[in-house]
Amino acid sequence: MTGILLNPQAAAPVGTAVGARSLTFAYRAGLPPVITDLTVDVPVGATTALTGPSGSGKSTLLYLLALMIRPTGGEVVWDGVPASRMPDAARSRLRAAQVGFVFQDALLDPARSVLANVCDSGLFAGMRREEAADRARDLMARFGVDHREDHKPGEISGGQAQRVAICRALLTDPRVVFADEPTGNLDDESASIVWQALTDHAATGATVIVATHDRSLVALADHEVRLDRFGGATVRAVRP
Amino acid sequence: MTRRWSGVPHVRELMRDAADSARAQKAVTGTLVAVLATVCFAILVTTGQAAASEAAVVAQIDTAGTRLIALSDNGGDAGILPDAPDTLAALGDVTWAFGLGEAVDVTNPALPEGRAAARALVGTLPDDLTLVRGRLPQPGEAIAGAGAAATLHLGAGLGTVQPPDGATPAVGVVGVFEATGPLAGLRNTVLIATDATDLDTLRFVYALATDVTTVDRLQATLATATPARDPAALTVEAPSGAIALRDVIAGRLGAASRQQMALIMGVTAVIIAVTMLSATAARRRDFGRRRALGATRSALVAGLLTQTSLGAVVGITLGTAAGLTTLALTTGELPTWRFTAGVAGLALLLTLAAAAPIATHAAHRDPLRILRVP
Repeated sequence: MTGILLNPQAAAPVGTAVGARSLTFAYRAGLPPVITDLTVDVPVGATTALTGPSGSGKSTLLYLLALMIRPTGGEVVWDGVPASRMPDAARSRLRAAQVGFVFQDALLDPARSVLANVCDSGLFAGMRREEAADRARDLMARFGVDHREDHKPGEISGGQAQRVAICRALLTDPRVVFADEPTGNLDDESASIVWQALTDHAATGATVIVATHDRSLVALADHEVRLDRFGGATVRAVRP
Repeated sequence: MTRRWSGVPHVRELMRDAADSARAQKAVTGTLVAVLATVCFAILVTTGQAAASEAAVVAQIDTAGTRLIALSDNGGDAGILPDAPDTLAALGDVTWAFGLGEAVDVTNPALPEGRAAARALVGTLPDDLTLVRGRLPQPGEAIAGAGAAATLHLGAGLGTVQPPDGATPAVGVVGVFEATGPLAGLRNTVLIATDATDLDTLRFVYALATDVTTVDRLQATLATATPARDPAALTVEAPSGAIALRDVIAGRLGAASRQQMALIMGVTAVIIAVTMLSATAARRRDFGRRRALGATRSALVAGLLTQTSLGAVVGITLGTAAGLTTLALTTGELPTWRFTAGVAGLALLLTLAAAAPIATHAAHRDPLRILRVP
């Protein structure tokens, strides 16, 4: 299946940061592929929702595009360059330097303070701790969790935890943010804050890719890549 | 303009992060500290005590002269030249060397009823001859062994000695020595310090090897390197029996210690491996999250090993300190610093060896399976 996302109305800058070329992925040899021959470009400066029914491969595609796993066939391209066959260390460094991640359940280290959790992404990006802490405090103030910096994740609410996770994802001012069901466990108010953070970041020229089954979020995205159960996908501009 | 990062973490920051992890993972770090402290303590108070005893036994055997090589000219035919002690002392494997001339009977002219043997002494006074009264002799002066001083009635160790026939001048005795170890036989002898140039030949030369392991080689060397008119007539004797006994005792004690230590270390490796396995299993999602944030596999492994090492070092330090203190208080015998450092180093290496495969396995887990929420 081939589908090139067009983004005629999207705000500048126009271009492609991340894309897939004939991408195929199966969890094991002999199992039917979760994704089959998918070609897609994700535009810069916009939010793109990956949607589809359960088991259609939303999270899998997200992690493939984020270079966390290698495809069975085809390529993931970054800035037009094949990236999925790069050595693991190179892919990790690319992620550390240019990617932010938001997970469904925040995924904070329960043994460390909220501030330390936010600084975590800076460590692998190559930040000094003090610099990371300064940036983290700014972000935490922006998202209203700065008064919780010394708390452990178990001592804050789910909505606050996801805002902390957003701070962690944005700490390095990443070019691409991947979010896997980022509002799945949140109330409407917290979900709204999280979504606004992602769209604000996209407005700075970053690429934001969100795997979600929440149609209300999809309606707010710029583009949608809808996966089906058979490994294929349809793509459309939600807000042309 | 937005700043871009290198994606390569600073080593110092990784170390700080590992230290933070060690503090945060209190149960794991506490277990490592407890295990390593117990192991080091147990090894030191068991194997360490055995090693100290072994060292003491070997040292005791060594005092009996396992390193002393004696060259003798029993028939007077070899003609050992008087500069032989200086020549041998210059060899790398020789700690000291001295020579003795032919024995002559001497008496105390003031109280002539006692007789003792006197020999010319050329070279350094060895450690086994300890001056207990008076001072060291200058050339032409003598010191008497404690036995000889009593025999010759040399009050306070001072006086003169002279051959009974009075043919040669009396020699002043300026001190008394106690002879121990392999040279204990000289206790009944008067030694007259003599310039090598004043003697024609020596009858005995004693050389102390720097190490017991060099005795065999040195024995062969001395047989040919000793300045003598007829080296083939020299008799070279080394305490091969004592050396063999030393080796047997050291070997048996050492083997028992090594078996004990290997057993303790083996059990330790299993405990550490189980601890690490449960620790990494509990942190699966943490590792997955870190991989998503850009941690390379090697960074994860290095961080885990650093974290493990920190706990291990604390445990090893505590256990070693406790073990040494216990030994000092109970037996008064401490193992050598090499043994202690060896145990500490081995414990740390063992910890890393046990943790490395588990850390590597953890770093290679599929992050997708870890991070996905069903």
